[in-house]
Amino acid sequence: MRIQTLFSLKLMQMGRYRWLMVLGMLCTFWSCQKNAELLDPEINIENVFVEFINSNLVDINYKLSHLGYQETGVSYYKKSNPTAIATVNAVRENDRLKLSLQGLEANTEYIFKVFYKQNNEQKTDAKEYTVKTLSTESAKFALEVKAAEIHYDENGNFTADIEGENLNNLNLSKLDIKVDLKSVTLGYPIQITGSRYKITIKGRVRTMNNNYAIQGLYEGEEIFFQSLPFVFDGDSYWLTYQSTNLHRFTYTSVFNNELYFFSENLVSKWDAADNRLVTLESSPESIGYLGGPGIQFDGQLFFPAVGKTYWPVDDPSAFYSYPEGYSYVPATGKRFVYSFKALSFVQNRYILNSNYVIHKNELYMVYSLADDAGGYPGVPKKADNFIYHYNKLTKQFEEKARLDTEIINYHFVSVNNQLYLLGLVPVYDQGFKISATFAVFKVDDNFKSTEVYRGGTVKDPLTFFPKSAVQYDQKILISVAVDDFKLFDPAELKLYQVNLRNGIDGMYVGPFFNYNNKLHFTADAHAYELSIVKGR
Amino acid sequence: MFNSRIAVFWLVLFLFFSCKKDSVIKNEDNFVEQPEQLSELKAEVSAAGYEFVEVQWTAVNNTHFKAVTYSIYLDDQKVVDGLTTTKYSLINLKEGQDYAVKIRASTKDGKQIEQIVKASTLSSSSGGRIYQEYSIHSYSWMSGPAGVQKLSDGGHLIVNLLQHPDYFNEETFKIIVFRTDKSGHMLWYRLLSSMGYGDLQSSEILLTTRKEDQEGLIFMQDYAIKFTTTNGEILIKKRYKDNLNGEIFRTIYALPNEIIVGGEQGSLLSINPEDLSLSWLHTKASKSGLIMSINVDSKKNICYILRELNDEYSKIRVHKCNAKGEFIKEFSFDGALPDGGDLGGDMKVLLIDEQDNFYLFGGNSSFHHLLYLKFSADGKVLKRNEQIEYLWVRTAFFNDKGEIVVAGQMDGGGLNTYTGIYVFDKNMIIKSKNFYTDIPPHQLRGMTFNLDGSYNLFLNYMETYTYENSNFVFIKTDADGKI
Repeated sequence: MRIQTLFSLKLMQMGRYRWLMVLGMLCTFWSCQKNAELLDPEINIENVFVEFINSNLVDINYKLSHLGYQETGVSYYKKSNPTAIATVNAVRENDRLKLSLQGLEANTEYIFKVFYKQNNEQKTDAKEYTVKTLSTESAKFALEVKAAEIHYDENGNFTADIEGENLNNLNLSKLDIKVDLKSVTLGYPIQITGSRYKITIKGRVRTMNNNYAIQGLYEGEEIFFQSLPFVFDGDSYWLTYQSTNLHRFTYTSVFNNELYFFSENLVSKWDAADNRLVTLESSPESIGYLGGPGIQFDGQLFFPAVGKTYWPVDDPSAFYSYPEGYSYVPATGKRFVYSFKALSFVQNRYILNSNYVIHKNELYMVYSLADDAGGYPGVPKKADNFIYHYNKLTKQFEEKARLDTEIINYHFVSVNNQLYLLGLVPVYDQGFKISATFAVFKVDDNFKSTEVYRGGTVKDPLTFFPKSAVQYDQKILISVAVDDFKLFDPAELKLYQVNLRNGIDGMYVGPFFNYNNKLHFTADAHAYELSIVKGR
Repeated sequence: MFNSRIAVFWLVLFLFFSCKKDSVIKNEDNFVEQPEQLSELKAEVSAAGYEFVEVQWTAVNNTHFKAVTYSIYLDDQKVVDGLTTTKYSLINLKEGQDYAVKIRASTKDGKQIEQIVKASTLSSSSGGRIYQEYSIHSYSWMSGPAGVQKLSDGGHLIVNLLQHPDYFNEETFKIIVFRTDKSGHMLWYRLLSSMGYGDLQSSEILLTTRKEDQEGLIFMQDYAIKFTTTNGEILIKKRYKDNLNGEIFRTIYALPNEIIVGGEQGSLLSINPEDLSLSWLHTKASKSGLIMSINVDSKKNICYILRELNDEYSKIRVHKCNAKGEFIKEFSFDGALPDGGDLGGDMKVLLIDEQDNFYLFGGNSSFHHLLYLKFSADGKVLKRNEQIEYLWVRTAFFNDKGEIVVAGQMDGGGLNTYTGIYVFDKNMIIKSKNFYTDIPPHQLRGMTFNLDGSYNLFLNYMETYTYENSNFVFIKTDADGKI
């Protein structure tokens, strides 16, 4: 009885504090889950710029790829005295970290390395940078570009004023000003006030907003160094991105404006109302290794072809591989496999450029079967480029054509019922393929291609590797990297660099997807909504 | 009485003082005002380039100590004023053009003096120092030792390997030949052949010309290419794979009607430059080893440095064959320094003078030691270095004065390396040394000389964290070899 009473009392006490206990357990649970899920980001040091050098000062700025650092800066020492290491902490301005090494000795080489502190542990970049302060002799000219940025026209031409003291007394034949390591044309010094003069320089840079170094060499000695942003002077395209709270995933598939996520044998859907991921099914029937996001067509999501390897049970050494695509029917959960066993290969071949394109309400699957170059990483491979048409009646893919042009890193995009092919094509010099440049082709219904745009020249081609391409506002938006987007306008047959309004925190740009009538892309699996406007 | 005496006294005193008042001190201005003048202005052209002229003048003083500044006019157009220096360059000018440069010295209140000097920019037909950089594409670069041949018009033929990115399964190297005029301007370039990393067993590119520079001949790996020097078009290309059994060419010596070629395993070949046919071939002409450098004596004997694989590092061998490549005799020496301060090294260049004295230059690659040796036709050592000199020899030749110019690489530690040039007289006494430390660290790729004593240097800059310039560079030095 007494025991029972005590027990009842305890229950009553428990009842009173039950909500507290539940809350405590929840807290513990969530905190445990947080500990399990949240990993420290791997921070990379990016875009290290030496912004300005004079005889006793060096301005440096750089970016860190992720947040999560407690402090950051550089450690530096005089090259002749590596033991006397000093550190300077950086301050943050927008997304850049800035600092100055001050009180340096003139005409002296210094070595610096960037560091950051994460979880109270100081991590120092292995890469060393060498800077040399200017001589005091050259400091008397005190050269400086006052402008915060330099504008270039659509051909990359720019002018800039370099100001300084007593520039009229410079022996100009001994002065060489370089921008991005190329000598520019100098004008004669023009007096501003008193002993202060300016020299106007003229030159040309690549038509891409970028930071370039301006160097001044007088009788071979560096007397001036400054790096400045070069910005297009005119209306240009500006991309603004907005972070979303969508589920982090490498490949996001959209079906009827709902987001699906596929892993080997797990299908999940994003519950937009509750902002959470719902697992639809877990099936032993794997959808295979995903080569990219699914594309909606004919009530299904189609996934790019990947290499499938078959291991005979009785003789695993007799294995062979072949391309295989997949589709998934969200309404039924059914999966379909499209095998191309006629293209079986034993080894030394692999699949590239695997993708789909919907054109004139028809679905086409494309992929390349490339030769392995035999253990030379980075060396390109000879490839056969296949195009299949999806037959809506038979629900099968039928070979339609093979690409009739030599092209790598290619993508198909349909704009206004016109199919375009874009990628890198060979640059020939005297019959030799010596580089690659970006080109766009119009493709007819028989997949015959006609070149309509070729970037760059033989001497200076336009070489970049398109990661993804998508139709956007009657144009083709191409992602190259998290901070490099381009827009091809088929009406003008012109390629534009898209500038970023805001910097982006990420390393790897993922595919585009349309959701809620807004174009999205992923960076390090984090989804961003993007919009592009033309203006200044 | 007393009163009248006092009155007289006062009167005298009054008169005295009244007289003194009359002698007033003169206050005339006798200063002779000097006319304000400027001292003489003497101006001259102190330097000229293809696109600039530099003028300098004597400092002008004002007799009234007023500040004098200078204005410069180019063909009557004011370029600059307010100068306080006495030297100025006019830039962005046209090559080979005459200009009138007026220098005006003036004070603020308008006192002025001026002088006009005639100046001309250099043209390609004028001498002087030249600097040119060659870049074929924004993404390609020329690398490795170059074959360089000076032509009779003062221009050059240059053969090099052009490296470029490989996106389409095409080899990453091209053999490139280009022609320059005497000012170093590139007249044309031609891509001759494609090569992959695997094809490159040696980076030696051997070049010669014939038929009064109308034809060029390249020997590389195990093939030869004959091309026209008007545009680089290939005339004949021939491979000697079947003859050489995997051996590749190392050195050539051009005679009027044959090219003597030495291989990396001791083969000696005679190739007919007309059709590139093989006249004769001696596999391991004397012994198995690397034929480093070939020359021909006055009796048309073919002589060469042979590096036997199993030799001591200090062993020096020179073999002599007859004009048909048949072995006659060997000269051998110990190349180590007498005091043991050096272990010897490869002899790279063999020169022979009119008296059939032999001159050998080479050295130790690990320490950049320069070794040299002179011996007579009968093998008697006439001179050798007795102390260490520093140079990693790349080339050597007789200049028009009969001196021996030896050029190579100096080691400045780390990535810092630069050209060094030693000049020897025929007695192998070092007459001069020149080191090119004023330009960024670089690798000498080829060199020729001009009759005025200047050199034509071909080089690549070393790329460092702070300096990136992958262009191929031509520098013509001053007559004293300075740049």
